[in-house]
Amino acid sequence: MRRRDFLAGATGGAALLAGCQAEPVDSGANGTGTVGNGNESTTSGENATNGTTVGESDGGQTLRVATYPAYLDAPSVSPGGWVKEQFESTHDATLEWVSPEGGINYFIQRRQQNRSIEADVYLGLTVEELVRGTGGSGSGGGLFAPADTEPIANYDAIKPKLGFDSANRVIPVGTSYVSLVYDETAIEAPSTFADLLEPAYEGALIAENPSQGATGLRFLLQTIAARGEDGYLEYWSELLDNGAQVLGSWSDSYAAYSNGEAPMVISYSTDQVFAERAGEDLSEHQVAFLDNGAVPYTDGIATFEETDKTDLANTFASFMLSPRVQAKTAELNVGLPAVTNATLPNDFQQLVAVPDETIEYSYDRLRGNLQGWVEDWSRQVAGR
Amino acid sequence: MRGQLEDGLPWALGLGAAALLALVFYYPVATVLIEAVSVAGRVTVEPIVGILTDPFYVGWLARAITDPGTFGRALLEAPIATLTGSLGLIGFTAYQALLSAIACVALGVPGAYVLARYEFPGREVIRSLTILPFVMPSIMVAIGFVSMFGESGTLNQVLRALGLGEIEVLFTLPIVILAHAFYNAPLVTRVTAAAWESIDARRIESARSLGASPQRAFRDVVVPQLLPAIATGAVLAYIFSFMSFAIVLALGGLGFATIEVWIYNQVTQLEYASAAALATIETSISLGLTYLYLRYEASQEGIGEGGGGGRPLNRKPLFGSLTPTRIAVGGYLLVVGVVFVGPIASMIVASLTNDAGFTLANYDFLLSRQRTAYSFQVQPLDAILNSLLFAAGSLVLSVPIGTFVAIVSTRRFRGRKVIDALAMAPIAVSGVVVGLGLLRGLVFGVEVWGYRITVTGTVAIIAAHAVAAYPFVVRNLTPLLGGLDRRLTESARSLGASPARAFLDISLPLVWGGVLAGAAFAVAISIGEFDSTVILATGTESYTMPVAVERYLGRRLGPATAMGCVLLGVTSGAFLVVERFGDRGGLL
Repeated sequence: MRRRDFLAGATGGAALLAGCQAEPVDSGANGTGTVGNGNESTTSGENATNGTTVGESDGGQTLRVATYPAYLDAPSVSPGGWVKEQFESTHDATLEWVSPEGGINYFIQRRQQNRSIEADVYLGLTVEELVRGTGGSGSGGGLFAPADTEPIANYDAIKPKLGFDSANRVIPVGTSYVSLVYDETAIEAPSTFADLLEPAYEGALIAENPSQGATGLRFLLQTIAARGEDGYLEYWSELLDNGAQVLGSWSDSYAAYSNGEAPMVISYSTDQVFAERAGEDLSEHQVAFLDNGAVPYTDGIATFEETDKTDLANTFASFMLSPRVQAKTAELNVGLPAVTNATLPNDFQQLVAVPDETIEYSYDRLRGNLQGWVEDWSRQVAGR
Repeated sequence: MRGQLEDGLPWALGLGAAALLALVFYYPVATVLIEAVSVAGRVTVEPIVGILTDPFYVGWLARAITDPGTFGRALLEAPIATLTGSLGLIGFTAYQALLSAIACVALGVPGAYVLARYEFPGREVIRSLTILPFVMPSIMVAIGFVSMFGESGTLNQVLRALGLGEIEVLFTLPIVILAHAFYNAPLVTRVTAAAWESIDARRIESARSLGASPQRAFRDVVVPQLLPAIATGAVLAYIFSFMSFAIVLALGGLGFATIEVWIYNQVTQLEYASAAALATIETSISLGLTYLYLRYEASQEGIGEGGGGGRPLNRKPLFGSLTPTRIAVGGYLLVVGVVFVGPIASMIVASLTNDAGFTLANYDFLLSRQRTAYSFQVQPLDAILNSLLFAAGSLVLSVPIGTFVAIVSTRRFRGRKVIDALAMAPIAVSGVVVGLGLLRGLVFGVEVWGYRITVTGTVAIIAAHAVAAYPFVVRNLTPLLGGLDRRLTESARSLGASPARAFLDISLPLVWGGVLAGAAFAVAISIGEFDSTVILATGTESYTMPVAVERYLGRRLGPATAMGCVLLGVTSGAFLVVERFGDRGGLL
């Protein structure tokens, strides 16, 4: 029995010693093209041999696409499988997913430790991650290379307000909005930030730790937009006095909301799409925007500076921006397309709420500021 | 020839253990903690001093350090208000850990009493299953607690039905402490029950025959033997609650942030110096406490001398005429039902229901994932097999290492308690820091003679699990080894047995119960481990059950709870097997 378990485990996984490696350290040269090893999900059955061919065609090349784990594996739907199949069937190339647990932080840390980057592009990069990847307040350490947008098809169709990087290191491929999700059988939607301080909303809101996810951070950014850099801490102090809760991750908060611990939670404006698919009562999944605005959750493709497959990376960006792929990935990722010419199914479109005003936070605005804002806020909340 | 082999055995074990610890613990952790005292290659105490003088972190202590005069006057004028006024992040973390440890003892010791002193159907099984909370991913505990203790949770539904009003505990300190007790009180129960069962009934009988009342015999014979075990449990419970992270945020909120929450926040922001400084302080406190405890444990050595071969106390039937004790036990079992069974049962119910009522859809999801998952997605069966493989591997590695360390630390030499305390470091260092260290040290690799050595995948994961697990083997064994009658091994030695042979033939059988208890923890630690598993994994093919739970967590909780129930089921099975196997006399 023991032996069988052992064999099943070993064969079901990698060979027992597959994880121990000794590779000659690159001495000078151009340092790129190290075969991916270790910490990544390899999807191609064959050994991903080093494709350092220089040339115009994508002939049989492998593009190593890094992304965050949920893009590949989520309990409801995730776009990873479809994107890989479609890209490979329409291009003479192999797409290999690389998905370390830490997401972009993994690559930033590799860079800090002077290790090679085992991927060509990163899919799903947000503005705060770009800020972190370029060393916060420091000078732009080049983890990502600016894209030449000329060869990227459908680039001009990107919605004007989505771009957050004037240096074009990140090409937006999808978006959604961070909003209030509330239970209309329990509470009436607040419409302004001032409303949230009223006794009617005492103990009604669950928010998230900005260090642990996109929703918590964007709600914090929206309060900064509403009350200013000098006023947001005071606002939060009043908000917490009124019984708002700040939990850890979005999962923590949404679980508490689903169990009826509070009638409002900071989540995504696409909530009704999920609710409809799960056959839930939509009245418990209403969406509201404070001050008619919201901070978008936009993510995009960034090309690692180290890659020598810029052409293939551009081909992939063109593929991701094509109207058909935009529509399908929006549906699979439960978000909105980044381009104006993608057609979403009508019922999908109707279930996604969109705010009147989009509150933009560009890379330039956040760089040098974001960390201080979050730190000051965290100290205030944790120090209470 | 055989003698030589036996002489070499301790050396081989010692070197192997040292090499393993250096490779998967000390070196990786050092790569991170060094940043607490080194900024840009320059040695500095700035980050640590910065924390110790910042009221945000240390509350009134900062004032005491930076302005002792004013602080001294305030202390004289209003001592209590000054000391309780502001604790700071570190002070609060220590405070909630203290409350948690007290709760663990309060909830755990009566459990040991019931298990050790009463006979009832299923006692052995229940005893085995007391380890379950230990393996539960914090997400599952959070879900279980919210659905048990939440505003519309099971408990409030029952209370309302009984007309008893309702309780509001979510997002408060008591629920955080209760969750810590959920994790760690069973640990107190296990170590205390083991000590209780090893009490020699003849000693109580002789005390009684000398005229001692039952209360007096209990106080003079039983209590002194239980105290070291209770202290062990309490110290471990304290350290675990002190380093708590996810559960605090999920049930309490950021207002109850602990040091570990802050370390996590700093590491995500890539602020390594302050994270390392905080982690260094956190570890110093944990290890300092461990050291104090070990000094105490050493002073207790000899009390159980001659133990191990005695006749255990007779068990009373649990069911019978209503005596005051039985009523008290009944009350305790009710509490157990609410605090321990309740959250687990709520999770099982959550996995079997949706808005419309009973459903198997969540388990159906697991089956369909098994059939249709892409190679880069987690498959439930692979996760189960990996968990079992890693648990078996970590068991095989950690038991000899832990036994060896326990033997070394019960030898009498100066400074042995320092070594013993350092051996506990794997449970006293921030999990976030260990993870970051493994990433830098093993995944990114070490450069040796022009080669970059990286260690990932199965071997690395098993090694990391074994390192996290072996301190439990040590803690379960040391008190027993310390209590052994030295004359036994000495006479074997005088008859020509090597130290190794004397240990295997004489000591080991006498402390077998401790080995088994340690082995159970080793399995539990491995099955419950998450951080180093995902960091060292070579991909989905080395993911385990807790990783699957995390991946299946989405907007709806069903799929994750179903996987959580599978985790509980598989773990229960594994434990029943391990303990049955051990009870039959084991390997030697």
